[in-house]
Amino acid sequence: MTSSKAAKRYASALLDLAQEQNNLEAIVSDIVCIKETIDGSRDLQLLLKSPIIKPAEKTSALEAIFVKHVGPLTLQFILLVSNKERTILLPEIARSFIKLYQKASGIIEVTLTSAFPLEDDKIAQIKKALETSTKKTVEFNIVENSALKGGITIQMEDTVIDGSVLHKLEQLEQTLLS
Amino acid sequence: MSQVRPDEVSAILRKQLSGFNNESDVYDVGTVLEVGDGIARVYGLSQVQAGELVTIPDAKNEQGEAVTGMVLNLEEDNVGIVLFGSSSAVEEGQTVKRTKDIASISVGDGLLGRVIDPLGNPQDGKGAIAGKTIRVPLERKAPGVIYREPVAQPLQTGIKAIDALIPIGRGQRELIIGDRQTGKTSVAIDTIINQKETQDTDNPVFCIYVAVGQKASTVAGIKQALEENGAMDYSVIINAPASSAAPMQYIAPFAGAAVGEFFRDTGRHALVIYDDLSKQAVAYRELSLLLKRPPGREAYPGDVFYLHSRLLERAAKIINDDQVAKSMNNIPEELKPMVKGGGSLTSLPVIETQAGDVSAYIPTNVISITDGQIFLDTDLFNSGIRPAIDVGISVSRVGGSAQVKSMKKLSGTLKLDLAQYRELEAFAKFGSDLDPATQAQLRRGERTAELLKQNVYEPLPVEQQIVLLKVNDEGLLDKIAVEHIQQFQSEFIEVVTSKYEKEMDNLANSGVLSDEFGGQIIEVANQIIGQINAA
Repeated sequence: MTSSKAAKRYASALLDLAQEQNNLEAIVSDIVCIKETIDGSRDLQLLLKSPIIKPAEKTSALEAIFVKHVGPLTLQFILLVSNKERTILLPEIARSFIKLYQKASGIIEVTLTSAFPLEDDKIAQIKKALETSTKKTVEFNIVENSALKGGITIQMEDTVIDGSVLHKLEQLEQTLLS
Repeated sequence: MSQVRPDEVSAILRKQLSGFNNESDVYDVGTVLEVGDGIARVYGLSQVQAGELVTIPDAKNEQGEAVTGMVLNLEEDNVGIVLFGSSSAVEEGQTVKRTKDIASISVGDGLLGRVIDPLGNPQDGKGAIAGKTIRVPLERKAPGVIYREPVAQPLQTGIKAIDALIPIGRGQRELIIGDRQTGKTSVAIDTIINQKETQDTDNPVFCIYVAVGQKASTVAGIKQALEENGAMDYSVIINAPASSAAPMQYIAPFAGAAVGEFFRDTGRHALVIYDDLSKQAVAYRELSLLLKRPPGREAYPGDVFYLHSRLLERAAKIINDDQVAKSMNNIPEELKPMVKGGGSLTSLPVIETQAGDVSAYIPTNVISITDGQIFLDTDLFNSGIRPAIDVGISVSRVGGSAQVKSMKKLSGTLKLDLAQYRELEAFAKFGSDLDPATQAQLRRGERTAELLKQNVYEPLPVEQQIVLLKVNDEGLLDKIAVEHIQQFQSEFIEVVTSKYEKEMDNLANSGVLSDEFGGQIIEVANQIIGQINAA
């Protein structure tokens, strides 16, 4: 999770270029695709990290993997990263890019944790409430965790709105102990 | 738990449950990235403040409580946190919660007689702190110039050599410096014990003893000594022993200052002893290096001077004007209604030198910050001069104006006598070959040095010091042998205090030794000297 400065710089350069070329949506979906591919393949992760494999081999491998799935700008970007021997940063660049894109287009990622599956209209209700209060587009990441016992917690960036039964019980315990 | 009545429990439960569904708690979190050596690096917590306390609910210490820490480093993409207590329970990926509470301590009169840790938790097994307490931050800006007054009121240590030659005033910062085993702590403890006599007056001095990085057995010994001498009733011990984590040792002196400020700002007098600041500097160096701050001289971080200067600057004599005092800077909200002028906070920081080297980094820093130093010397200590105060290089820059009148008069010649004696001491072995004037000076010096010797935990009230110094000033002690000086002292004090009780009280209150009473004590002294010489 430590985002190195270099990763941020590559990501912001790509974002700027994408905005310039009015091609943002396509690039975003490309980057998401790259991220998912890397997350899904241990071999690819090892390849990116390996100091033994020659940069030229990495470049051709990456080209072969992504040539059919991503646009020309994204492919060019991957090859640039590879030529600069920064493939190890690729997952981080993807993460930083998505963050920067969300920030630029007013999207906020929210983790919604609930003890039981929530009905769609409830989720929509929460989404609407959050969007009015934050004035941003909310993208949900819904997690189920029965340890909460009941209620929900909402995490937006670093802030947690905790309405779970577990938290109430902990608070009750604290009150009784003190 | 056993004392909680069932109906009380039901009431609390009902209250809690009534708000069960409609309240949700909002807090900020981060994630532990890495942990080791008592330092955790945390991702997130983007709103956190420097110096804020955080908790890691999933990491439990030996007592089953969540591990807490303090934010020291705010970096571009992570936060450096120092952990209070075991870091072994903390794991990568655990959630870190903000408390929105800047490191602070609960203070109140209930602290007197207690032993607490630097976060205010009792360590003496006597239960929670009694009475009303208020939260004050550990780090507080020192009072500005207009809220202060010059030091003018004495703080009697009860040690002859100090009260006569290196007087300390209320609101002063006087450094106690010396090698290990030279009696630094004893000077401090004697001073605390001597404040007992102020407890019956209008201006009692409350004492705070901050033990930093000391052996728990030493602290237990100090507590026992204070208890035996009835000094615990007006004292607080803040203990961060050698076994406690470096952050605890780092914040302990600030906790001491915060407790002292509570007395100072409520118009009372307090004395705080930091024993010792060298160990605090070492703890701070450890933290700084682990937080990857650049090391400077002796590997201390660049701000180690500021560490001590901001701490000692909090010692102050507050202006005797409630109106002005109430507008003092940085008073915690809760304390505001209680603020009164005229209080003081005196600091006695202790520094341990290595082989008498006062030009090392930390000693020179603290010497330059304080208003003088009491230098304790190993050679003097070993040659039986205890307290082993080196009168030649010990100074008090502001205490002179706080000295009692007659003491001031007597101390002038005393200092001269001692200085001349030290100069001639090397020639003493020539004995009778010396001229009579030199012999007389040596004779006087030897007796003065003997008179200034004092046993530990036996502080002397200022009026008794004055009459003793008066006898010495008159040259009466030259008539008896050096080995009889201590005997003379105890007999003389006994007679004078029993025979002239009223005059002694008068002297204690006014600080003026009348000619009449002066004559009377000389008479008593002559009688006792006659008896000793006849025996």
